[in-house]
Amino acid sequence: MSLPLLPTTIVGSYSMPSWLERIKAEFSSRRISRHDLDDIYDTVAKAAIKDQEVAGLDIVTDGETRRDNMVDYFVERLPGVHIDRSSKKFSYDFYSSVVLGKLPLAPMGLVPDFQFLRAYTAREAKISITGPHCLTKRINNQFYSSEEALALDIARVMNPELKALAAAGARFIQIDEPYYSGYPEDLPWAVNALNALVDGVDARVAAHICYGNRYGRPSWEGSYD
Amino acid sequence: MILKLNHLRGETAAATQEVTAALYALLEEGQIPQDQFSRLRVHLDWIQYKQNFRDVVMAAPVDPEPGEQTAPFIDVFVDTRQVVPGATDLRATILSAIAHATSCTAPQSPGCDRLLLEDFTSFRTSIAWSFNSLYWRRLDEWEKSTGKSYEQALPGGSSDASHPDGVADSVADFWTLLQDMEKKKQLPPEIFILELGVGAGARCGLWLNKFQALDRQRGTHFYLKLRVLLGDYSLATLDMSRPAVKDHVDLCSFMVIDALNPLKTLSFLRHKILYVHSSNMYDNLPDEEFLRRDGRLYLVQVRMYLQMADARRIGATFGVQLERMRFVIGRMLEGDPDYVGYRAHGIAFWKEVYKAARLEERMTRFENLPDSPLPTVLDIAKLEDILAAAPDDLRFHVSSGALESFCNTLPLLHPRGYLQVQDIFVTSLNTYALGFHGPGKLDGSVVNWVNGALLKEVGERVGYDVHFAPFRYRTGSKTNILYTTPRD
Repeated sequence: MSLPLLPTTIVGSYSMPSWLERIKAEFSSRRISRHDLDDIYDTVAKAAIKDQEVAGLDIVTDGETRRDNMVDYFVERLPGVHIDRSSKKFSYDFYSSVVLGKLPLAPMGLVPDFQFLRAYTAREAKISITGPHCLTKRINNQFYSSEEALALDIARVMNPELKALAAAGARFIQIDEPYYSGYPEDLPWAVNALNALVDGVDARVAAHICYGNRYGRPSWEGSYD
Repeated sequence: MILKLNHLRGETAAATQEVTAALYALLEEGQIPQDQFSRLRVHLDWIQYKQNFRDVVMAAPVDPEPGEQTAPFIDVFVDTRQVVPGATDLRATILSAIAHATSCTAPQSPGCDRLLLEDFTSFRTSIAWSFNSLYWRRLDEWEKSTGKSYEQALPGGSSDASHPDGVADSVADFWTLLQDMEKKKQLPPEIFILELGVGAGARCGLWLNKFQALDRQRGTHFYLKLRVLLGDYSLATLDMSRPAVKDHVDLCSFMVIDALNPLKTLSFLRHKILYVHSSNMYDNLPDEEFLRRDGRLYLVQVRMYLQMADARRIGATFGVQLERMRFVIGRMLEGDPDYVGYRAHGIAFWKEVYKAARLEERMTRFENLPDSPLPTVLDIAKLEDILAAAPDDLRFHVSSGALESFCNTLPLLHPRGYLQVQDIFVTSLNTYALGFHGPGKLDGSVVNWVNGALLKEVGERVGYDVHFAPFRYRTGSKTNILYTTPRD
């Protein structure tokens, strides 16, 4: 697939309709089944893909609508991270999570997401991954000697998943690191963790750095000028 | 019959006994049929506002289930504060109220002992708010006629917002935030703060005095970076506030702002304002009341009226014929008390009408309303989620105006900014079962407690934790301080 000189793509997640948030809440309160929720997610992803195609984007995503938010989707897949499932009220809130020992290596199950996307678009496809710095800031570290050590180990665990994505045909992988803006003092080690994450991954890698848009507002003051 | 004692005070025990005795006597005498008696809910309230919209007894019909043929459910509200044991003819008053609830639902009918000033409507659109609006537009004339200022009319004779210790703590909190931001090199070159609803400007003036003093004392240089926005929907009020901030006027901008949507004027400051403060504004914004009972939701619709005896008395005093009274009041509310005669005459007429004005109620099923009366920031699904953990038989304020103002202010906040609101908040939905929370009359205005529990829930959904702290600077104060912290 050839791309124009300046290809267009969506950077953040697709806008989350309020009815989908309500459905997620229904699932949390056990009023709909996992099967039905997955069915709804598939339908929403297909709609998001189609919408991007109609809008004329060159590189499309699945809209990330399966994700409660950019953190929990990864935290609950990271082996060795413990989650308190009673700790959040709304799907878009963050879980309380803790790491108590060394993270083991295990698949995170992101490849099927990409395969679904690949199956429903003929355009170039991109998958977004939340980076180790952001995840480190959200996980209560009770094992590693420093945030840097945890971030590097998250990168170690996630790196094979990125390689698996590349092997499944992901030519474009975006790493989301919104917390760089809030913690510029972390940058020296945060960049090392990012490099460790993508080391040997055969794909075009992009880093997405911003001031956050959680709850529709910036997390830090700053300008894109 | 279900009897609900919404407020218990020792001195109302006699009145309570009198009410129950009157009800049973009416049953035994057959004046209230058995089937109607079984469908009464009698609420014994104690209305804390000496001036309010309630008669001693008010009866409100509840929309029946579709196809229901039996006697209607009627809520009977008794203000035990107005019941004088031995003197109030409760039996006649209760009977009359119930008869009115079952027969006088149509527009003005011959023989009705009330002069209706409007048709049934949601409280938000009631002319009660036209009186409120007139009051703020003509505040100086009202104050001249009563000989006391609005603040002097408040319980306690002054606003809690201007309490020096409270203001000092507020200044210290804000200074600490600025200091922390400066340490982290996050301090913007201009520090925007917003006072919403300025009153006489006393609080803002005092706050700036104290901030300037603290800034000097600590050797920081924040004061000159301040950009102080004083916002009010009344230009007259803004003008009145200027003298109070005269020592800081170079830092101040005075802006007419829609209290329900500050963003309309200030969108250029989206995510820029570090501190927003308001006091006793939310309790004076248009409101709705709802009833949730047996899984059904009802809107409390109201209709303003004058007791016919009051209407005749006022008409005779001011030379207004009874048949022209509704029209004359309407003209007055458009902004012209002079319509009744010379200025002082018109103001006196306005005061008398407002003093005598009452609201009758009916409970209309949500499904029977032509449009959703909920504010735009709250849909029925969200409301039902919020009510899931609340008591089933619950009458509560939606605080539509406060909710809209709150939701349209939050986007102005800087990522580290916060909103602080001093007002009379109901901080838990359960509290609604414990007493009357408005509407009442405060001087010429309308006052309502604000559903803080609902604000908290809605705030959480848009990324802010909402906290309440009792106002600890004046013993007996009913004020709570709402403040927000951004969720990360």
